Amino acid sequence: MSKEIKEVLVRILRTDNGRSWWAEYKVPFFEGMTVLDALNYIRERLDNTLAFRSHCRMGVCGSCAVVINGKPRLACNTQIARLGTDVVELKPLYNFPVIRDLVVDLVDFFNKHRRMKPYLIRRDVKEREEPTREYRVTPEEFERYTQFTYCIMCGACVAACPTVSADNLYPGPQALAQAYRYLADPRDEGWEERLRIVDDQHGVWRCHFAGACSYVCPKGVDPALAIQLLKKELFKYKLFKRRKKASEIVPPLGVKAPSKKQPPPFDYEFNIEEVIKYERE
Amino acid sequence: MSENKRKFKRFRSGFWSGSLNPTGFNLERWAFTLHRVTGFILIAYLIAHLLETRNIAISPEAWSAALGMVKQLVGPIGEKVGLWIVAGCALYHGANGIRLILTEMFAALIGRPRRPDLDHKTVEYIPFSLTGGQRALLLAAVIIAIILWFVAAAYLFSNWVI
Repeated sequence: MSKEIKEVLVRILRTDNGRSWWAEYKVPFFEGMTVLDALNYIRERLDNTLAFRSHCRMGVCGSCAVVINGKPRLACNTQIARLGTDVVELKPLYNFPVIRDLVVDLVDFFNKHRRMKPYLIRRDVKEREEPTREYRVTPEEFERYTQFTYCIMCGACVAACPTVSADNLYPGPQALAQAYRYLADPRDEGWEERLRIVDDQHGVWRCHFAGACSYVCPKGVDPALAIQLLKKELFKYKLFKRRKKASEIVPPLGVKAPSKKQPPPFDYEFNIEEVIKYERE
Repeated sequence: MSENKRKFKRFRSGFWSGSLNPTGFNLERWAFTLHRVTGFILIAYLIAHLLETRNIAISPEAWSAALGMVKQLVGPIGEKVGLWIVAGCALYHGANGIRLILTEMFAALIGRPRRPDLDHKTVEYIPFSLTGGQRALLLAAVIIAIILWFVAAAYLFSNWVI
């Protein structure tokens, strides 16, 4: 930073009861100041009616995502000195309904994530609920999906996505990246089930690789890469009926494997009755 | 419910800021916007073209009358410039479309999953899918489209210049 900053002008697009206006606050600058520090200063010293979400202030919880100078970012992860200007313009995340000021409604976002079944699906319910041994994951297989597990669900990618604003039913980059994360996981057996969910008119084919999701992701998750790989897998599955081979249960090192038992009948869906019955037994 | 719905509509970022405006974003987002805009222009041209050429089914006189009307409307230079714009749209849309088919169907040149916590050398992690072969493919598509656009200009305007 060539120019010495003494004071930062924070402009916030505030919304309350259906009315929107720009509010301006002057915040004294100190070295290492983040946008979240400025927001906290405003709420503590200048205007205690300002609403925003924040929690961990170190880029882990993903609750403070806002649009900073036109780019969706985490407020706690953004140094004001790195923005290159002493005017910070804050807006609530694009493509989300606004509740108040910088707080947006994330219910739809989490529901879309839930629709992708973000958990391991195994045919053997008994083994899954009460594991006797481990599932095998080699280091190479681990590398295939570990990047997508860093997602903190801040919603920055959805705010940057041009498709989400045009199609309400599109799951969004976050949900699709998580679908691929479980698809690439060798322990998972919900291969066809998840592909059936994303293979839809409003599903993965709506992505046109604008790449903005990867550009704004504060954790380097690269959702655009995950969606393209998901499309490739779906393409292969549709053409050649290619299926994934799930990893087997392995004993810990040095322990002899017991004889193989016959798995119970094939069941993809999470059958709650079966689990309850098993728990009672 | 209706009030909530109204609020929701009002607070959603509009089509411009959410979907079309690429300022401040990456090059692929610009390519996406240009792809969409050229697509709209091509569809408009296609509809106008169909409406014009359907006159040949009525009679040759109607066809020449429609052709004369269009020529009168845009003029001799406007006709060629319009065709040149449509050619540019088709060339960019086609070249970028080939890039999209390669990257979306075959995941070509976009790399493999990496470790953002271990790999990155800059302050912010720059994903490989936006920097590597895919970016080169995008630039190649744009450059090929521009070169062919000038070839189209030479073809279209050579009779007019000489």
